[in-house]
Amino acid sequence: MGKTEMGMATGSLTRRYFLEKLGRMGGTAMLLAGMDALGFGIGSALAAPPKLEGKPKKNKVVVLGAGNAGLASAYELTQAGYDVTVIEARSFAGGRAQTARKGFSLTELGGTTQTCDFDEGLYINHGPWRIPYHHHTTLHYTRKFGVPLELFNNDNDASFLYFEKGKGPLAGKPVRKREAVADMLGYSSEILAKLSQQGALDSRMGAEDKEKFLEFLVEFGALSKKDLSYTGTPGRGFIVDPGAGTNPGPGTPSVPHKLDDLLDSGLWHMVHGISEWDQQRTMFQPVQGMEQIPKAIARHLPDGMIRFSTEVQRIRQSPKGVIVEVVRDGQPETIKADWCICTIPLSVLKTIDHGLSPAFAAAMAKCAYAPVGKIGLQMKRRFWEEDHSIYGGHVFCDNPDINNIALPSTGWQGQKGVLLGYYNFGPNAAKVSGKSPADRAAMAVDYGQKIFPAYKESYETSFSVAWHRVKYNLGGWGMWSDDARATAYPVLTEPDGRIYLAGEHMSYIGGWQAGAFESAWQQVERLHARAMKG
Amino acid sequence: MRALRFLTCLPLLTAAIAAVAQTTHAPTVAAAPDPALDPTRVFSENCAACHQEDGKGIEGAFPALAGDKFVLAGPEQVIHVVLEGRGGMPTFKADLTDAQIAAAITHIRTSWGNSAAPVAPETVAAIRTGEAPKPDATKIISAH
Repeated sequence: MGKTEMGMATGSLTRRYFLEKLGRMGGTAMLLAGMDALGFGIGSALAAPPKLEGKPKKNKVVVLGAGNAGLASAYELTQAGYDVTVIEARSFAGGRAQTARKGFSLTELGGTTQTCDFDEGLYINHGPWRIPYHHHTTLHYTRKFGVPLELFNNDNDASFLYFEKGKGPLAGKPVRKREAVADMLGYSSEILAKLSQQGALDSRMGAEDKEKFLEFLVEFGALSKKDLSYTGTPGRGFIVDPGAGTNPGPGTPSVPHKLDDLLDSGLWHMVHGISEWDQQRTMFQPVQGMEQIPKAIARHLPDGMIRFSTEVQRIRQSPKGVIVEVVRDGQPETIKADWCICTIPLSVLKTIDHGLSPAFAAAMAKCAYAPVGKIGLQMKRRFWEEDHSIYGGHVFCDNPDINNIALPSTGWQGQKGVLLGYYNFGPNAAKVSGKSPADRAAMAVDYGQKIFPAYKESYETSFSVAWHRVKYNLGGWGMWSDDARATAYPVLTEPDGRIYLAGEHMSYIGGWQAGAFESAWQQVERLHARAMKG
Repeated sequence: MRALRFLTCLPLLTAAIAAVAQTTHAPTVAAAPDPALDPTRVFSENCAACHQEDGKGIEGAFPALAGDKFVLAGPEQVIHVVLEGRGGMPTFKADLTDAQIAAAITHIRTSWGNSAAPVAPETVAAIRTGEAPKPDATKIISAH
């Protein structure tokens, strides 16, 4: 759509006219996104799967990959009467949406085989692990197929921050997040309030607004109404908690850290206002692991539709159809279809004899894949809960080999638990993944010991993954540079002949399951619209 | 979007600078080689997870470096890839010093039967574009 047309549209715009136009241009997806933008309150681009009406003549589809994008494509197309075959290289459905529990086995490229030996009932989601409340596509399938959810504690005021690389008395000390937040907000509000009172803001607000603004700062920063100073607040915690009678009675208030010390330590980096869009509360996880989502969708596909342990060797197409050569247990087979939805990660697809156009191949090469590492550590005692009153949430660290220690949001007050010992990216993930699984665990445990005195003595066993070394993935998620997003990505959103790409990499919600689902819905809708034309 | 801010630091940078300073001040004493700049070690710690200790990579996933034309040609392109990343390979610009990158590239050009010229830190410095991130610079990392 050209600039002029948009300009004209906005000139004489009614909401209905605008939405109709959007709907014609971009289908349901665009329509719903438009409704959201106009304040109809639909929080995500796609709130419901596309309605695929009518029966096309050419209805045979081969879906490559049984991760979330492939499963959703297969399910929606099957519902619409298509004849679908799903090719999956692994022996199970889900792609990266995996859960490691007792017996789960993983061999990294160039690495040894790990077989998870957590206790029964314990697990780690070593792939996707959380679902934002506005990921309606993901939540559509959990609701539709009755996958029970529980809250994922994505922000815990009581949890520690641990920054070693700054200076001053707070460097290298676990500091409760609530203390850093209360003090940074308190001091910032104090400074702003006093400046305001001294007239620094008089040129930009009137007396009435200034009064309201001061009231806001007093509340926001927990300032003294009398002199606008910050001297602490119950929210940052107590030296002795309030209790019964006269002892402890009101308890003993805590004393704020010094502003200079907070600044020198670097802890202020972890004090935010509103969370990032995809990190906000409310966050969910499926009860008993992320794999429950793909498993539930797969259960609702006809028996035998997914061909497991079957690798794609070669993809070719003609004006009439798509031919996929696969191999299972050394036995080659040729699968013919009218259409193909290819959800193979681009990192892997570009190593296959895909026969796609040179423009497609060049565009695929511009998508980089993220080296990503995670480790689950089984602890024989939930010391974070018992000793520190930390129930779920994250311990953020400034060592990029670790980044994030996450306490489990399930099994509260149980005996044992599996926590996330690190979540590293890029060169740090590359570095850590060069270690043996035992050495990765030793590194993670040594680090955690600096924060929790009971870490090392509680550690029992580990399971780690380096996604860049996992066959069939070769990376955690697709990453588009600004340049590649502008030039290469749009090429790949169009079909190449009869082949449509889908997956998290084909969305602006990259690395999230919702990106895979929304991309699948969008491509399925476009495929269907074309198939209906004959 | 979806960014969490984490700090990154370059402790090795300081160590490397200190080591260089020491050797220039004590020219008569044979300086013990800085282990942080040992070519084999830098390669093992940062590169071998994918390209493998034997430099043979993994077919279909990670390119071989042993006998690789790209590695053996002029070092500029290799240095560029290490600095900026490519495909599944991350950028090491913010994580390795010029001296460390030179060490790693020297290793891959002189090991496993490869016999190309070693690379000097100055060559890396000349190719490194833009300002090097400061040791305490924040780095935006996607987290899901």
